[in-house]
Amino acid sequence: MAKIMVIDDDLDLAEDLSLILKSAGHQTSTRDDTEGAVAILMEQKPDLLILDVMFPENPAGGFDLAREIRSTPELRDLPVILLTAINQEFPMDFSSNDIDPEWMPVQDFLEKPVAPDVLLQKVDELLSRN
Amino acid sequence: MKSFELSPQPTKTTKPYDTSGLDKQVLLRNAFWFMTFRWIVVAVFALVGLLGRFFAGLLLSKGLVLPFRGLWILAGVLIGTNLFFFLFARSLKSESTITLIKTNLWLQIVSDLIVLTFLVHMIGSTYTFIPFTYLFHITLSCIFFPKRESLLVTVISAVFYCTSVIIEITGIWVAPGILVSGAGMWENTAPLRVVFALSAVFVWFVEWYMVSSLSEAVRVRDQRLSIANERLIEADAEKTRQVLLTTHDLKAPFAGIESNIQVMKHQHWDTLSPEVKTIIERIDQRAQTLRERIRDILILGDLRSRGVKEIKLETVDLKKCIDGVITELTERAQSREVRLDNRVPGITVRGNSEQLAILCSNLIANAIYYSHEGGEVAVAAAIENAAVCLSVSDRGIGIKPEALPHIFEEYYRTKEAARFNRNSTGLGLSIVGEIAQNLKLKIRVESEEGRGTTFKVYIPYHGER
Repeated sequence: MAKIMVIDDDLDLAEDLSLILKSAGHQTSTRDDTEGAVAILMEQKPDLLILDVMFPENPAGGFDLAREIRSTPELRDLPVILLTAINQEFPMDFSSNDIDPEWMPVQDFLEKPVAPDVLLQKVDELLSRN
Repeated sequence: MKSFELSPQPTKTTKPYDTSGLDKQVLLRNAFWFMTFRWIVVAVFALVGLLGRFFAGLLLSKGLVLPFRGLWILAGVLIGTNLFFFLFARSLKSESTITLIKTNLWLQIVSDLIVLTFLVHMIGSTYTFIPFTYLFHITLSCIFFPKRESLLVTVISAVFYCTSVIIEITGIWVAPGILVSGAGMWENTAPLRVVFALSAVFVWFVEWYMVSSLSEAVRVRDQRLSIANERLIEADAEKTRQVLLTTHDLKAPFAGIESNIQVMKHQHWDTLSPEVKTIIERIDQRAQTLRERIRDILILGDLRSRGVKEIKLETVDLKKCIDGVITELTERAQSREVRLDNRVPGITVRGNSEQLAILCSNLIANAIYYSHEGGEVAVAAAIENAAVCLSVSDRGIGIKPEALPHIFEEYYRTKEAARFNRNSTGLGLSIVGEIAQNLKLKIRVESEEGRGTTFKVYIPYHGER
């Protein structure tokens, strides 16, 4: 069982993900914005973060938070999965090939809507790696 | 056996670019501009003539002699011709043929060139820079006319000017010029005067070539931009049409989803586990939000496609309109335990009943959604100057000052609003803004974060009911 945080401005979706993760025995918490997220992450110390990219205040809020996490020594090793619909909004074809330690410092990239099996498999993979 | 064949359609052919000059409207406007400018020239001629008449002694001491009589005669000629051109141009309308408009312009140019040739002759055709004033007409003709016609203006200028020089050199008509010593210095050097005249004419032709080529390039670029702009407008309209059609087509599948949810809720609800019930409630909520979003997208699309011109302005009974909206929203208000206080008096306004009802419905629904449970939404109307101020106030979550300028933007929602009302479509106030724009209504929003918001809509007053 792991502690997983979901940050997504669509709270319904965050709660749906939460249900899926709970069904696999994980403990979850949800947030709907990136503001103050680093402090909360440091306090709650989750084992994995599932992060959206586009937020109302900042369309690249997820990228920014991922970079902030990597530059925070206490959170440097926190595995992050980006879960986004950015490719439906902007035709930029983001994928896991764009993962980069500087620009997109995350462990995996998934597109919404994600099938529960795929999500759980990725979560298990990343947790077992750590 | 029957068959059908789908053949590729021929692609639209693009018209060759038209380099025949400016269009009718622009040419007519330029014809009037020419006339206005000519009045200034008349004034300058008259003033310089006065100077030559009354300060002849002073000018003579500086080596100058101004031919004041000649200038006044030319000013008189310009007044006469300008009046004729003005009456001629005024008789032309936008539906007049381009030939008539061009005839007016050509008459103006040729008469100007004749007057200019006389002026050049009086001032000094080969020992002052006055011959270069022909360049004004050459340049303008390059801008107004196609290359061939502007070349004709250049050739006419050259013929007039050379004729005047030849007349001077051969002694047929020698003008004194404005320089006391200049004329004497040049009068016996005919070859030099020919060299001067030919140099000037050479410069004109170079100028004609450069300006006419550049003008043609600019005209072609203008047409390209205009064609590209037309295509963009067409593509945008087509895209909007497709989006609206697709959105409209989504209504049926969502109605299907919702009806299935209702069947499940009515017939199998008791057999479901609490977890499944939560999920179904969430699907129901999501489907309802999407249905409302589809409705809002279609309303917004319809408002935009109709535009301002198609709106029928009528007398609207505001009280009846608000009563109807409140009846529709009462159930929603009750579900959130929000009290609706309707204090709109019997008053009529000038507007469009359908659009005003949508505007009021969106404002009141918004006030209900963003009120705290047990809150109150007050709707009132009062006459202020020549308008009716309809106000919708709530004591809800309020709006941050920095968010106020953005609330009418499509899909704009503050973080607080999104958290408070997860089911917002983000289009309600965009629809309000669009209607306000269509009906030319002013909307004032006053809000205090955490205390509530008041929307004031100013609608043209018509009378008591």
